[in-house]
Amino acid sequence: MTTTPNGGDAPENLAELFKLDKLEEGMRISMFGAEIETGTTPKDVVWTRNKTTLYRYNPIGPIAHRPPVLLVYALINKPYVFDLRPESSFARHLLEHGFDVFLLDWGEPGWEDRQTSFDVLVGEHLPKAEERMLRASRSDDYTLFGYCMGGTMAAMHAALRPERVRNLVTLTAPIDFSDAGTFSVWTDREHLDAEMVAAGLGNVPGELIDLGNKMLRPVTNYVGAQLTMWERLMGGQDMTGWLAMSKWVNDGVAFPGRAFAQWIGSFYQENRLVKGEMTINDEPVDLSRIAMPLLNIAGERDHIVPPGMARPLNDLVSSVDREFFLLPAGHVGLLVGTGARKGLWPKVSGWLEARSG
Amino acid sequence: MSSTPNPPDPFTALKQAYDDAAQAWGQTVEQMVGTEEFAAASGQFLKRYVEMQAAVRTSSAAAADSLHLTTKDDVARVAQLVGNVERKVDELTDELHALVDRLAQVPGTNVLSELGERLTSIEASLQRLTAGPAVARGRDEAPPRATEKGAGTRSRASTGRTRSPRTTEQSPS
Repeated sequence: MTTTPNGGDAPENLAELFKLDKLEEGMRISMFGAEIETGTTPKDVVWTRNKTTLYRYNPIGPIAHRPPVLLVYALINKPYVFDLRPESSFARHLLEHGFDVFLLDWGEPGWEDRQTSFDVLVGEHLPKAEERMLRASRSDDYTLFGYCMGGTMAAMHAALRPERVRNLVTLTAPIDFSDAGTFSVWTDREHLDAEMVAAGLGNVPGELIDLGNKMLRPVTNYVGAQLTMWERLMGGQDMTGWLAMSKWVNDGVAFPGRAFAQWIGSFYQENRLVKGEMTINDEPVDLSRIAMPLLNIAGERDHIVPPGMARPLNDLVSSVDREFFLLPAGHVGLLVGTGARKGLWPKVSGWLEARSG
Repeated sequence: MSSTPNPPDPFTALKQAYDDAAQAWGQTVEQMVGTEEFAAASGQFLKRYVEMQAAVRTSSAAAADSLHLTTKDDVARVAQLVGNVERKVDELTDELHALVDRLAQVPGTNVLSELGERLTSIEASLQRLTAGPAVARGRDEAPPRATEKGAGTRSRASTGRTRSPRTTEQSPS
């Protein structure tokens, strides 16, 4: 910077005046996507089956709570949302509070996995992951934590195999699909033939799933996100959080075709879970078999899983110790947003500490 | 010291304009995408997209087949075979775990360590056995000109002499 005749600061050249370096960076992000290291908390592989991998995070300090915590995410996007950045890592928060934390990653399906269904994932992989986790941690029981569709899967598992699930935590887990907002309109059988999509595409590309999610709020997701990026970049603000979130949002994985057809057909179109008609490997999923302590969390501003889709779980279980906790946040913001550190994280760790003795 | 204001940032202005209008825009567009008409149109779009993708896949598979090239289905079949092997290894691991669990439940502390101790005692006995002929050789050593056959005969004889202590040693057990 040089000093102007009247004593003010002036840019030295045109490049600085027009912030060309930042313009270049912004163009690169817009065209090629955000690049930033994510999911950096060290972890080891405990078990794998096909694309499914069970990880165990390396403890940060002594393990103070015996029952381990198993984090389960959805079949769409990637589970590093639990460990987005060191400063916005829910997994790290649990480790810091003395929990033994495991993560179940469903992986990226290949063409050979197009027939993979919830019967395989919930009926076979999840119980096996549970078994391997308990063996690795030398525990008799554990806390099952499911986020989004992972919450639905966790609830189904807790209903089918409740014996070793000591606590169940569901985060924005869709359970009652009778009113899924705009998704209910889009997934109406009249407009969407999920079997045809699964048969035609094999696996449903992550980009297509991402398009569906973003089109719920197109202005915010397409215009607002870009403008926020430019504003932060040109204003010289820290881009770390934005980049990490942007990377994760755009880092979708394909949905196995058979599971997609089930998800749309059995859940959105037929709402089988709350009707007690859902089966996994021909075994009925009876949510009333869930009797362990339940913490069911939803976001007030969640447009993907509105609170009305999550709340009914509390009415369907037989747990005496059950709580529905509503946070003033959106679908992802409640886990990794600026408020998560003071909102969701201490709520979950406090609730678990009281039930992990 | 006074500074001249920086040139107005066009992105800040754009963001401000967006913030001012976003709520109204957003609601309008969200209402639009939430209509039956939009759902019907996007459903039709999806149907055409799927049909096109399926046609491309079928034709590319046919072309690859006629050119004797590996297709996606071929690779998937191999992947499934690998998956089957992985599953079998997993099942074997389960059986191994079950076996280890059963062994751990056998009464009488640790069966494996007991077996280990018994093996150690057998090893010690064997060492004494092998050491026996050498000792005997040292005691009854024939002149260096003795043949291998002769030595072997003596060795067997020595072995015979060392048997009795071993038998004695084992008898209390």
